[in-house]
Amino acid sequence: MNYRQIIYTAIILLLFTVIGTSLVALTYDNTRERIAVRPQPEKTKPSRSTAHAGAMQRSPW
Amino acid sequence: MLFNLLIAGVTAVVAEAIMLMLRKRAVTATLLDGSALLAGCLLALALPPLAPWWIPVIGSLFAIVIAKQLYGGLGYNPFNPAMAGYVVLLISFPLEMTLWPAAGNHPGLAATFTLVFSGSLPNGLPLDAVTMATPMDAVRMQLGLGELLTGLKEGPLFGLVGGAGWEWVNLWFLAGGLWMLKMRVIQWRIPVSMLAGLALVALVFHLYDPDTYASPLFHLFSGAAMLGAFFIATDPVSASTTPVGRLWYGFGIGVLTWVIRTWGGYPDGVAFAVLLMNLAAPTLDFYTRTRVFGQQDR
Repeated sequence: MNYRQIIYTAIILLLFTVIGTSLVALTYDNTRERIAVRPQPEKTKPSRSTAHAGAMQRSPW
Repeated sequence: MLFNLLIAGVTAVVAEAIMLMLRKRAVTATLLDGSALLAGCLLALALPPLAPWWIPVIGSLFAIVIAKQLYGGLGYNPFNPAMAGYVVLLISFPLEMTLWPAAGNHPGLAATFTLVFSGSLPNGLPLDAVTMATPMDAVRMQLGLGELLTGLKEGPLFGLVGGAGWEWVNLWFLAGGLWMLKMRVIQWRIPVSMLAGLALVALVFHLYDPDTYASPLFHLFSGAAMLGAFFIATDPVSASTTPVGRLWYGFGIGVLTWVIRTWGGYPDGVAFAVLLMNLAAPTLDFYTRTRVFGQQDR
């Protein structure tokens, strides 16, 4: 692999990193409030007793 | 990888839109939050770049329709949607999930396009000409045949510290993760404890028998270690939500990743480890939640 290929590869990986990380950052920022205000009962029950039964019982429709 | 990103991203967004319409929820506002696109992209990053086009389609559909929307949509999914989609693909289509290009021998854009959409390479080239086992897979296989790590390190599988080629990808994921930490997009507890758990258990066994167990650096800079630590395990919905719970959650993912990589049936264990710890997150939250002053014991 010559130096030109190494530089091209590094630039492509850098672009992937910048775009990908920005997408993650934007998504976390956009969804933070909606995730924070969700009702939490299922998250505070031990899974051995509920196994996410609350989430299963909630109809998505 | 580019084709996987496009196919998985588009499929995820379209599936999310259809499900939101069927559920009579706000479509545009929800799509613009980026969560569906992100799930598709994270899944695509975990897939082999030479996988046929229907692999990211099926994975994205499962991630969005089953793992996310049928549980109630954003904020209610108990499992990380991208990893749920990935594991379904890994179990259902093991052959297609091994189409990783050989390091330094990636087919060009046109050849990759032909391979992804038609299933064959131009000029009748066999698939073996451009694919090979990942370093993690090959190391497991060779160790199973009785070879020693000391000998394998001399071969083309190993780079400077991790798997050849993979260490650079992991370095860039690490760079992106550190930037997110600096910008306070994510908190340090899950990625640090996950990497610490992976490195610690790898170090103990490497010191015990360096010819059988790979070094902590190999584990940290191979496979999906950095992607998992910074971009997948930190999912705010399916991870533990208490400070102490996050430490145990990350540590558990790290240890389970090493266990599955070393003794499990699959070469990389990040996806399974994340899903197993997703199962444990409610229990961790329950036992590590902050007590209100004056609250009685359970």
